[in-house]
Order: sequence, then structure tokens, then C-alpha cells
Amino acid sequence: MQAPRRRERSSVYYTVLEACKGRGCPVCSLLTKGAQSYIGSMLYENVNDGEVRGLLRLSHGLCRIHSTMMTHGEDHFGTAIIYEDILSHIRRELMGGRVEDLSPLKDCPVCSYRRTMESSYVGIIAGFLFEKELRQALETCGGLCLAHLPQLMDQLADPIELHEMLTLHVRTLEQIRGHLSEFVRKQDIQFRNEFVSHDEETACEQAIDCLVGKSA
Amino acid sequence: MRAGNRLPGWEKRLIDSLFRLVTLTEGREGAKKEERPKFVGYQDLLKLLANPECPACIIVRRSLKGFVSMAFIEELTVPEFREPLRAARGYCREHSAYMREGAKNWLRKMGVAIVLEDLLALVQEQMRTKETVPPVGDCPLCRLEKDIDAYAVKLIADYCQDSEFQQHYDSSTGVCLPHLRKLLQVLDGEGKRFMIVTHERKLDVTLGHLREFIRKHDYRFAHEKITPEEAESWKNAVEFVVGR
Repeated sequence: MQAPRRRERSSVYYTVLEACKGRGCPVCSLLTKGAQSYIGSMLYENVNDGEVRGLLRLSHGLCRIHSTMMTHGEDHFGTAIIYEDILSHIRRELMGGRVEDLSPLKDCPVCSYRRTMESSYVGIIAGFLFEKELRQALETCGGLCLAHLPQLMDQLADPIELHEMLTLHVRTLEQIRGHLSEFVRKQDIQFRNEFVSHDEETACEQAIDCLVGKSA
Repeated sequence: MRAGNRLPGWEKRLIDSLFRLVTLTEGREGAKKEERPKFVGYQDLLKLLANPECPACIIVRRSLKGFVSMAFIEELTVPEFREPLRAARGYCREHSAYMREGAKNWLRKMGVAIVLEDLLALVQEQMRTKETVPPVGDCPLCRLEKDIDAYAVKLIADYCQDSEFQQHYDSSTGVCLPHLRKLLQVLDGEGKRFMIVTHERKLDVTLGHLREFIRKHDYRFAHEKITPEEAESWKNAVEFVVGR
């Protein structure tokens, strides 16, 4: 899919630009924030919304990753109301004795929301990659993770932009590999006295974030 | 590298050792369910029932954790461990958590770093030469989890009609919903009935605590003390629905 070119900068563009100020994949950090805010509003504002509750009943609440995110939050009361409803529903299904009724009929709503936002953010990056400030911002944060990079590459039609993106990411990988190699080298008894820098110390986390992303 | 005379990978050995326990219990096909031999797996299961979480989830988590802990130290140069990992371009998002955990331990951190450096080199090479990102393959830990999960369900299903097991199970938290679903798919007759009735009762208890927790948030009843069970009920409800 080719991204539309020369369009007006929307607020999402600036959100993405802002996210590039941090370290690591900006799409991942926006998705994590998005999931947290979705869960927050679900528990606080939409807890008695019939439509939301119906959806949650069908999906048996949230998936494992987003449930963990929810339980780490503060709103235990909202969680209790939603899960009282879900458990009552499951109990009715269990009494029916049909195993297939115990399976969720819909996807986790946060995952669905995440997918929509993911394509929107990647689309914005692809659509505005001709902007120098966005390219510079991506350079600063080290680009996208390898979960989002293929999605971006699918949307790039310009071979120069595609080449630039690949070069940027190859450079980022080179940097992380360098830190990993140095960390491994300094575990050798001959070099144990050498100082392990912060980047080398955290190289494993950086590499995992780069390989699978850190979005929830 | 153990070329030529390759030992089976840790993965295979783990599954073999788990399933050996189940196979041993299957020795007496004609015997009554009550007389089913009780080996180490069964005794472990009884111990796990004393924990306030799904015993099948504990078996899966402990086995995966054990596998990853050992593999990043002992199996680092074994092709059977490294090749599937390279083919999959690392573990999936969920299972990468085990690698993150490994990286926090100084003993395993070097192993994790070596594997990650190799994976990044692989990706980098393909990006340079083919101008593409290598696709993600089947996560080896997802495959392993599926096998361990099958073992855990079989272990519980095998003893569902045993009166001693039923007593222990009755007083435990019981399995989570994803494992209950799998159990009900393999069980029939008395075992299935036991599981349904027991879980209906357990759900009633959790629902009672949840309703009390909600009621006591009303300003009219806010002076009533929330019991520890009620305070934990929302967490237990979430854990029952998704597992742990």
C-alpha cells in the first residue's frame, strides 16, 4: 500500500515527532501509551457503557498482556465491576456444559485498538518521510523496531526513501551489535578490568526491544 | 559443538522427561482410575495445588523458565538450540520476556548477549544484501509451551477421578479458564462433571467476594471493612480468565 504524499500535517504527525525524541521505536512507545490510556478510560469512563461491557463479555475481558497492564493500574473498582460481569457470564456458560461456549468470541478490544493505531502511526511516518525534521527525528531515536519496520517498508514506494530507511536501521543494528560484542569481550578474564559502559550494560534490552519491539 | 554425535536438545529432553511420567501412569490400561499409579508428577501436582494459582500455568511457566535458564548457559553452542532460534529470528514478543529475565542474571547475560548479537547479525546481513527484513518464523518457545501445556492438561485429566486428588483440588484455587477449557475438551463422564461442579462453586465464591468488594465501595457501606479475600478478588478474577 502506498502512503498518500504531500498531505497536511495532522496532530498525529506531531505526536509521532514528539515520540521520536525518546530512545527506541516511536511506534512502540505510542502504542504502549495508547493502550494505557484506552484501559484507563475503559475502567473510569466506560465501565457502565452497555456497548463496551457487551464487547468485553464476548472477548472475556482483555488478553494476557493487557490484563497484566490493567492489574498494574490503580482502578481496582472498575476492574471488579467489569470482571464481576464477565465471571457471571462465564458461570452461565459453564452451567450450559458446552465447552465451545467457554471460548471468547471476540478479540481483546485493546489489541484491536492497538492494530488500528499501529497502522495509523506507521502510515504517518511513511507519508511524511520526505520531511527532513521527521527523518532527523528518526535518526535520533534509532528508527523503528523490526516488528514495525517491515510495515513501514511495505508503504514506501520511493526507492531512495526505502534505501535511506534500510541504511538507518542497518546502522542502528551495527551500533547495538557493537555494544553486545564489547559486553561479551569484557567478560573475558583478560579484559575484566575494563569499564562496561551503560550502553554495553543495557545492550541486551536494546537488542530485544529492536527485535520484537516493546509495545504492549 | 557436538557435531556427529549430537545429543538431543534441552527442549526434547524436557518434553521426554515430562511425558515419561504420564506414560508410566498409563501402564495399567485395565486398572480402575482409582488405582492409577501415583508417580512424581502426581506428587508434584498435589504440591502445586497448595499454591494460590492455576497448577497448569505453574508447570508451564516453571518448565519454560527452567529451559531458558539452562539453555543460555549449557546449550549455547548446540545447533538444536540455536538453529530454530535463528529461523524464528528470536522469540516472540511474549516469550522474549524470558530472555529479558535471563539478561538480568549475570550468569546468563553473556549467553543472551551472544545469541542476540548473532540474531542481529543475521538480520543486518539480509537487510544489506536483500534489502528486506527476514520474516519471523515459529517461536521455539511457543512450540515448547504447547507441548508442556498438553502434558499439564493430561496430568490433571488423568487424576480427575481420583478421590485424593479431588479433595486437594476442591480446596485449591483450581485451574484457570484457558486450562479448564482444554480439560473439558479431553474429559468426559465423572471427571468432566467433577470439574464443572467444582468450578461453578469456585466461581460462586469469587463472585461473592467481588460483589462484596463492589458493594463496600458504595458510600453507604464504605465503613464496612473489606476482607483480604475481597480485596484480592478482582485480581483473582482476572487471573482466572486469562491464566498467569
